Amino acid sequence: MKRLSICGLAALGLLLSAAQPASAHAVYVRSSPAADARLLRPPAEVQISWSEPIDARFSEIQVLDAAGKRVAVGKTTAGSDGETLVATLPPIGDGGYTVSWRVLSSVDGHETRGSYAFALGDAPLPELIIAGDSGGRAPTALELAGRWLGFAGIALVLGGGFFTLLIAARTTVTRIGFDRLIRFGAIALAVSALVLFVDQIASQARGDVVGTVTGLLASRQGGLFGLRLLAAGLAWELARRSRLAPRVRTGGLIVAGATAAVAAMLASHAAAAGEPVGMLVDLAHLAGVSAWAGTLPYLLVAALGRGRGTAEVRGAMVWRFSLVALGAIAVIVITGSVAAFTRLSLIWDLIETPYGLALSLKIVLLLVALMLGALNLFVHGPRLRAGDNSARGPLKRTVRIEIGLVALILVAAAFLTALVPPAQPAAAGLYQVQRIEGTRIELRTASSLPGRNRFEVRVSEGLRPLENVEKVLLRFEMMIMDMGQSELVATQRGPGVFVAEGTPTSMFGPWRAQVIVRPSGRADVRALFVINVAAPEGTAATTRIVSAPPYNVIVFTDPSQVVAGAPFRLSLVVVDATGVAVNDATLRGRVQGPETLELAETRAAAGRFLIEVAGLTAGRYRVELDLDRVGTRTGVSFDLEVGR
Amino acid sequence: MIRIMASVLVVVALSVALARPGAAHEERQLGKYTVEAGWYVEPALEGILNAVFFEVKETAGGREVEGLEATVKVEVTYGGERKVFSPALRVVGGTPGAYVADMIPTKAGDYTFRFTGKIEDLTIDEKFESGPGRFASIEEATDLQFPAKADGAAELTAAQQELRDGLGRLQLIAALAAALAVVAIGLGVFALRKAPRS
Repeated sequence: MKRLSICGLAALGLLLSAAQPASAHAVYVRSSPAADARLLRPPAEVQISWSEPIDARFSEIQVLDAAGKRVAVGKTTAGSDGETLVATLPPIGDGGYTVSWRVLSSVDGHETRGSYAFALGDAPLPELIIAGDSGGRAPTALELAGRWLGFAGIALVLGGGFFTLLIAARTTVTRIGFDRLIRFGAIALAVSALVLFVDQIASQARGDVVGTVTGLLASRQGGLFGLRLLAAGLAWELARRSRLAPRVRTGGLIVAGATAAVAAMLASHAAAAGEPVGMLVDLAHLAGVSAWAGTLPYLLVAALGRGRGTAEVRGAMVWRFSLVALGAIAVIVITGSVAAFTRLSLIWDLIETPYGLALSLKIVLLLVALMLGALNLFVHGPRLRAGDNSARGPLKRTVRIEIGLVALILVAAAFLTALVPPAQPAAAGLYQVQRIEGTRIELRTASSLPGRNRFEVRVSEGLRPLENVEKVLLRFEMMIMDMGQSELVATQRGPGVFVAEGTPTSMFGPWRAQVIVRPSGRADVRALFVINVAAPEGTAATTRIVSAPPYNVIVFTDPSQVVAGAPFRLSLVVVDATGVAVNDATLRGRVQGPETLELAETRAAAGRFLIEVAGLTAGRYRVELDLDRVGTRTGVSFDLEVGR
Repeated sequence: MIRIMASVLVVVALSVALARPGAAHEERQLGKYTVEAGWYVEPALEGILNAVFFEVKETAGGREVEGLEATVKVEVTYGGERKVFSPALRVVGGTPGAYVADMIPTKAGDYTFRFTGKIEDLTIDEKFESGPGRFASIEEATDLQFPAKADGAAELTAAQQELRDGLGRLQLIAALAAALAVVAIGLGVFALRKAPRS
């Protein structure tokens, strides 16, 4: 037995030390061609990067033309950073194309899907059925069943340990029933591990089942699978060896239950997001559930079942259970509230998102179970303690009902752990949510840097995307200096999804972004967001700060990657020593390199200088500009790379 | 009450007398004419008497086009709403070629002016929508209100809205947790009092 305990503790220690932080779900970060890009020349490959390492064996990229026909992409290979996939393309003609992808996170084992479009030549962008990230596939019945069995197994095994440690320490417990419950817990853990593994195989196998199985076993998911089986085996062994010293058995059950709980926690949203506090909160939540819900079946068997024990003895056990349950409920409520606060964006998420609905159901069921518990605490329990054996019957009935409610609570918990929480960090840039007059508006930006940016607006009411939207506008204003107001009109890219691209946020600092949604036949819905355009740590490839004392000049090109022959625009924001954008100046100069081009004199508009260039041949250039202001001239120079 | 009415009348009179076309108008070429549209009073604030401004000149030569109050109609819509308001155009005294249609925009936001009819021989059906680079949107009047802001007129900044939403979440969850904690403590105290003395 000591050996079993040591093995269990060792496995636990190994797993905790090996846990790696990661982001929540593998979310699209960037791609080449970029989303909604308009290209002059056909790309040789499609390259997509996500927010965390992905398992290339179970991930794929598909490219479809405007007619929906698949383009024969080459083999998909992983990038060196583990977060990128590359698929080579055959020569393609002008037209609109959809890139759709499906990836399996090698960290949390969740699958995410998404799509984006690009166009070659003048063709229109195809409309997307799933725009951006879909947030993962809907949970299958198999996955939900596996999660439910896992939670039930943890509760029974860990609950058995808590029961003997805290409730029945000095009491003779009906062994047969007790051992049977531990066996049920062990079986539930084992079946849960198998069911979840089979579900992963079913979702990932594309004809090659053996390859999928070996691939999954070699991955992190395989490690968690093994840990669950280890916990199940330990619990089964403890159930079999009923003559073990009580202290050893209790310790073994707690280790087995904790091992299974850690395996569940390592596959949770908090673990995938790399939140140590969130992980501890999840563990504490599981412990609380096990101490209350997990000990209920043991109470039914030991205190209220057949066997020895006077009414007073049984009543005393019920009384100790009530005390433990009160503490456990307090832990459940506190940890549940902390988790809810971090995973909900708005309080309305409780009724307007699938995750929120599952959480609301869990809360309601918990409240009903608590009311039954109060009945036992105030009515039936005192009667039993006073020696009234007739209280056993009603007490047994309410405990059975409580167990039934707990089973339903675990169903809600299975949904909660399978669904994506509403509050999900953006892989890059900004993610904010507002709710205005019943309309939920989400704003996501691809980058937090000045320069060209992609603004994605998702609009929904209740659980459905908002339909019949005439227009979505985004208006930008710099908050700490007057740079005028600019507007982007978003185009619809999918149900309730609107995307706009442009360079309105051209300066570091806070920008006010007003999103105006115009539903047909209704008043506009307006939401205000603050976008903090932050100074880059390390140099951003597309935006740079050029020092030209007494000025600093923020420079970027639009598009961010300049290619030979294609027109582009130079955007310059000149900031004086006090940090204010300069408007009363002119800029003129030239571009020197493989060819020389004179740049026309340009005046600032809305705090920004825009210089249009018709096109340059490929090569490295030096841009030399003269900034004339209030009778003084300052030189501004920087390099410019024009790709082939 | 009389004092308030008198104040309103003074404001109205001053607004009409002193108002002139503002800089935030949209200009458009329609055939041989240059058409300018926007709000007559600027800054254009909600709840303050204003007017749809419409001016037509020949592009070459600058001749003001008169008599359009009889041949051009204007329809005003707010945001995406289908409700249409059709104030009558009248001549701006002393400014040939300029016309206004009086109205009070009661909500901040974007308005659309649709002009239909005829400019001399040219049939028109033109929409002008407020926004950056076009004519000004109606702004909330809170910045100018003194001493107290009118109810419901305060525009929250994005940061304030986010703070409000987060605070709302926190308050509700904290209230729920506190309520349950109080119940649990109450149960515990009651149970302790009822504990057997063995």
